[in-house]
Amino acid sequence: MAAGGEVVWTAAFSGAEGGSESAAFAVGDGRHLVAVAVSGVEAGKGRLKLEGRELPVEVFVDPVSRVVIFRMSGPPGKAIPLLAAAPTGRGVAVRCGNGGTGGRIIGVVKQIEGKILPLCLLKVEYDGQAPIPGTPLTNASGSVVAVSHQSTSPREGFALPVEVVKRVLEGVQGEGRVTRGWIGLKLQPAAVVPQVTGVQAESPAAKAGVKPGDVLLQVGSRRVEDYADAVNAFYFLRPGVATPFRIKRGNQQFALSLMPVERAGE
Amino acid sequence: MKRGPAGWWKQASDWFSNLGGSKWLYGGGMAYAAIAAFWLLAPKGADTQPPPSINVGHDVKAPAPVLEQLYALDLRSTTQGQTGEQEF
Repeated sequence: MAAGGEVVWTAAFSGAEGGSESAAFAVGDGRHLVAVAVSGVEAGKGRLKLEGRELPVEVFVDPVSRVVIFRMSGPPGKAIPLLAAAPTGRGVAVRCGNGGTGGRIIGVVKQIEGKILPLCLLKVEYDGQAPIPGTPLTNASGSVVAVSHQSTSPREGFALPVEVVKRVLEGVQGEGRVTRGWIGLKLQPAAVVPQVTGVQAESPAAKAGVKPGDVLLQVGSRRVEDYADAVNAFYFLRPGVATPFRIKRGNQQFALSLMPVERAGE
Repeated sequence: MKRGPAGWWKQASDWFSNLGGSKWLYGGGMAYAAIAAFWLLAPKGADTQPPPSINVGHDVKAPAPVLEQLYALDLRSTTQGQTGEQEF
């Protein structure tokens, strides 16, 4: 038990480069624990530990976000509530875990060194040492707004918005696995606007009437201004869950509803 | 007496023969005058203007950077993503 009386969950991941450790925290019913497996480790072979003692668990991995969900059958842990969506405003204060180091969100990251991310990350500046991956970042009410990911300097690091954790949890709790939605839209990363360059025949996008040349304005509840925004919005598509799209064709705007299907091979 | 160019040529030849040694002076003077007249009166080539200068852009535009699409949050600098059209 930690000095403040808080139960300490950790996750250990092995890897060719020596492995890594992640913090873990209980959510929902207290039997699902969230951790983060950074690049280079075997996420599927993660081990959950309580106060250093390894627990028998089922492991679910989202290969995109590298979020790992451990499902345990023993007594539930004390769950931390999740906020609906992370604030993206610059300067929003966060705290590491319960009473840990403070910090603030300093931006949203869509791409790194010319590589567009499959989902947007938050950049967080900490008052002290950046926490290890998997540390919940909470608001003043104690709700999780983000989860720390890789650090970029001793006092800065990336964090996963809380909605990413919720998206993975929904799949694990609903379908018993991590699923990804597919709609059959094609886009060019180098395009200035998120314009559809192709539509796969018989895909959900084709059935809904999306045509090449259409410009995406909104996907679900997310406004789309560029290609990276579209990619981020696509991450949250759920198979079988109708998603409203707003598109621009010429001078006209349309509202469409697309029904994503499960991405083949996943 | 001959008329026409043949007569004129005969008179000119006689006149030069009567000049004695000074005919070379006259001949030299006429040759100089002919060369000078040719020099002054010969048609010159049309004046040519230099072509208008064209400003050369020195800010050579670099080609647009190639954007890669990552399919997982692998943030290592060595990681390579996919380029070109992407399907979702």
